[in-house]
Amino acid sequence: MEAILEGISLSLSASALTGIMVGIILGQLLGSIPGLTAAMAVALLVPFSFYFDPWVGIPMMLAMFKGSLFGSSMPAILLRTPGTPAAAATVIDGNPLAKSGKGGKAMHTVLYASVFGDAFSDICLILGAGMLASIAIRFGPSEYVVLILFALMSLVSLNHGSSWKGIISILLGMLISCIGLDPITGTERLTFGNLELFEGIGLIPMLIGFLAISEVFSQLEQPIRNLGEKAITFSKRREDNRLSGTERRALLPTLLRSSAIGTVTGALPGLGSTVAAFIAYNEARRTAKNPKEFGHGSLHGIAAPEAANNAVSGANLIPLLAFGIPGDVAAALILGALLIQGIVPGPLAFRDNPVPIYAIFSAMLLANIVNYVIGLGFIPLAKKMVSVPKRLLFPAVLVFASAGAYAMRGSLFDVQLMFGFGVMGWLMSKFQFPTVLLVIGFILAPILERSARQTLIIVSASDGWFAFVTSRPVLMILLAILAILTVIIIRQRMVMSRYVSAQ
Amino acid sequence: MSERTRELLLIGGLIAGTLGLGFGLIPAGIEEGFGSRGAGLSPRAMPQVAVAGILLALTFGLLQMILAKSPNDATPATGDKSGDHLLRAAGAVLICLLFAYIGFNAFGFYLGGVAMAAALTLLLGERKVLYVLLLPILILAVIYGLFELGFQIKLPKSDFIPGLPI
Amino acid sequence: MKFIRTVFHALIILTVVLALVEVATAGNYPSKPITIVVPYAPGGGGDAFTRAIALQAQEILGAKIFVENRMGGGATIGVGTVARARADGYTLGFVSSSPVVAAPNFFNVPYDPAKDLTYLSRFIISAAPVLVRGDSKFQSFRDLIVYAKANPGKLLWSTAGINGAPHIATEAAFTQEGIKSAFLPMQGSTEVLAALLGGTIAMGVMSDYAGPLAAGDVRALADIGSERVPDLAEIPTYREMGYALTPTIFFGLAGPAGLPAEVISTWDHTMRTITASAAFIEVAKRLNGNVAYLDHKAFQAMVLDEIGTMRETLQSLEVPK
Repeated sequence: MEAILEGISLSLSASALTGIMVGIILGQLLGSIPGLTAAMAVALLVPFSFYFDPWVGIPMMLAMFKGSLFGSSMPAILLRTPGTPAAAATVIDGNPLAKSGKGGKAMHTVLYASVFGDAFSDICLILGAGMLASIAIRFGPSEYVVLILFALMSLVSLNHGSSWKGIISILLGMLISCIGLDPITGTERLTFGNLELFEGIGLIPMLIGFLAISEVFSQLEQPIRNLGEKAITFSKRREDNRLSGTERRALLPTLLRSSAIGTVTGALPGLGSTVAAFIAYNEARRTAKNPKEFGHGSLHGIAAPEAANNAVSGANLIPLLAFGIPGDVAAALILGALLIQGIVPGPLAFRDNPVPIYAIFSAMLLANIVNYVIGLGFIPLAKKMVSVPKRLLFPAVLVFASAGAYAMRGSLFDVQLMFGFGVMGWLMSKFQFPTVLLVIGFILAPILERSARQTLIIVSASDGWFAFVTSRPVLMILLAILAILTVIIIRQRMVMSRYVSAQ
Repeated sequence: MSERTRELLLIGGLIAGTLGLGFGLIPAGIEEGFGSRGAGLSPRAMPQVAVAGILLALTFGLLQMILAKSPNDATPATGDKSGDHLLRAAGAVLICLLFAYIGFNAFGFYLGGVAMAAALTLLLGERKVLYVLLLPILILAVIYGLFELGFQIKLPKSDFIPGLPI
Repeated sequence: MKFIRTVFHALIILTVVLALVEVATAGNYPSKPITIVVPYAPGGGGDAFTRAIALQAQEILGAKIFVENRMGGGATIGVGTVARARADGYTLGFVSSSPVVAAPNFFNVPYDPAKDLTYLSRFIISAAPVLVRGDSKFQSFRDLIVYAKANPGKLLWSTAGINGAPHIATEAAFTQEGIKSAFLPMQGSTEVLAALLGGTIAMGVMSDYAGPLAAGDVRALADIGSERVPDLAEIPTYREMGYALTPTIFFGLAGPAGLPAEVISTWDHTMRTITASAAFIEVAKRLNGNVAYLDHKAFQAMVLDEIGTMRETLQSLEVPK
């Protein structure tokens, strides 16, 4: 108890607060520029963190990650360009809402959902890290297969319109994801000896190319008068630029469900925030009163992925603090910084040296408040930045995108790839092939393939399928949920088609 | 060309391309024998499943087109009206690819970037000298500050002008 | 189109002016900033070590040092960049055992590790112990061998990377024992550790072990190397157990082939000073590496020896690729 109080007082010191503020501001800025990530900034800071107290350096890094998750949604909404891959799902509903003039409302929804998700997972981390981690550690490749199937269900519900074109987009994304070294045998796949392709197609050139660059190219086809217009116009009406109390209350169930999904996904190492965002989006759509709104600017469709991807970032520390296993790049960098501080994460840390850990916990909660306040100031700034005519904004987007694509791996090849994908995405949208589905296929397929093939190897080393499944209780529960969800979705579809044919 | 014939041509082309992918590129690009260690699926399995799925979906689309009750030939193709605008988009694509493949290498990212942004601004219809010239320089200055100074990420430089620090 | 001409003229003037301010590069090494290429992502795989070294070397050498991350190709693209750079000592690179000793046996890498690089100095070696769960029934490496012999194809194990040194060395040891095991390919030590603790696999071989080992979540049974490292002093090595392939996992600094003698001696001196400093030893201890300095001569000989042994063993043992 004394340790907790001491920790809280440390986190309230002036230097700790300054660290949090600097971290949030830098994070929001970096997140909003595609190609620059909070991870890069934190990596540069790690060697210096030797000279900081742990309750200054570590919260600053965590604040950067929190800030960047919010920041990365700004360009996703306004320019269809997710600042980081985690914001890919936010494009689906955020961009249509901004196009209808309600960009302000969209950004306030993101801020509200982000901070909610962050706070939710931080509290779960503080109260139940040990318990959650002991459940999460029971998830192996076979359980991951079922989880990815949950996320893939979102594709079924997203695929309206000409459905065969949607299916082709998904499969094409899967095919592109196969390029690189085979995850199981380590052999080359479709690289044709090109070393740049060894580690696969980068996610950043892929996302910027298919979502942002292709959008710029298709906008250029419009009459020249339109290019003098502003890229995004914001409605003057006050209620289009804020989130009302009623709307906030209406979003609560979605936020709670999505935050829980994000926390569970975050506790599982290696799945990542993008997967959580898509699972949450699908769940929000499945339980929505009017699912037809989704894809056209639904507030629930924006809030769900945002709450989920932010919840992942706090929950990634759960396996780190329980077992010393970092859940993702962010947690791995934090692990590095903790080690440099002489803190070895794991159950021993709580026993031997608990004060810095409680200080970090309390600083994380504080960072959420700071994130909200600074975010409120960032929204009008973001509005200003895109309020220039398209013919001036588009060249800037293209040049910035080039710099960002280059910076990720230091390779001009990625810049070429990005523009290649931009052309491909432009042609696809000309023929009504949904590019968002291609991106989802590309993100989910590698985890699905790897986990499925790993599962086959594990089963071959055990005593057959039946013995394998019955030896894994978590897998049995997940399979049962999957079966129930499938039945529900099929029934919904049947009811809907009966309704349509009755008209 | 009507919408319907355009779609039919597209599907035909895609089927041909997918067949080429499935029977040409995938067997040529993925060796099977090498990675015999461990049990489980072959490295070719997933790409081939994807190709088979694409073929199925294309066949479905083709059938849907053929079986459609009344071919709606009255609607003209959307591409016809925007001929000159299509040209502008193509021009932008050309500029981008030119700089990605040649320009950034030859002039470095900063000089190349200024030239690229200026060319694009011109193409997009901006005629004020101040905007065409100063805006690109401003953009690249911001990039220099963020990337080079802030993060020590070095963007490509060239020997185009010896001794130039950018 | 008037302004295009204006732009053109301005560019010509700019060119002339800048050509005149060409920096003279005569004088002693180093007279301008040095770039160290790290073939891994920021924050991981030796990046932190390189940045720590760059900080100290900057002060000793009195020249700015940039750390540049050039990822891709399983760290071979970054090493290739260094191999192809001008041999003037201003482009150096971080090297580890994987792209130099292991990878060339499996891929066409864009360099010849024995000919295209000058190995300047080694600064860290790490152990890669064979780990089992803390409550595992296996008390020694011998127990694992006995189990695997009695249950062919049932011992499920993994390493942090496919075809890395821990993978090849253990596969070679199993081949020598005549064991058929089930290798589960995974990506990264995180995944392996989670699978080990969750009970999916029975054994893991990897360098990231300090935290879980201290907490008692895992136990170490053997180390793949040839000499015992301080923090695993009571664990036998593969060499002691009579296995042929006992690679060392090392971190070092390298440059292109044919570096001037002045550059080599400067870095010998710099790295000896850094690796002996209290600050670096403290950083190394906390990042879970063992400081093991070798100068240019010794490091070069060691790397060439490792490359040769790896190639020969892979051929003679016919380890399944």
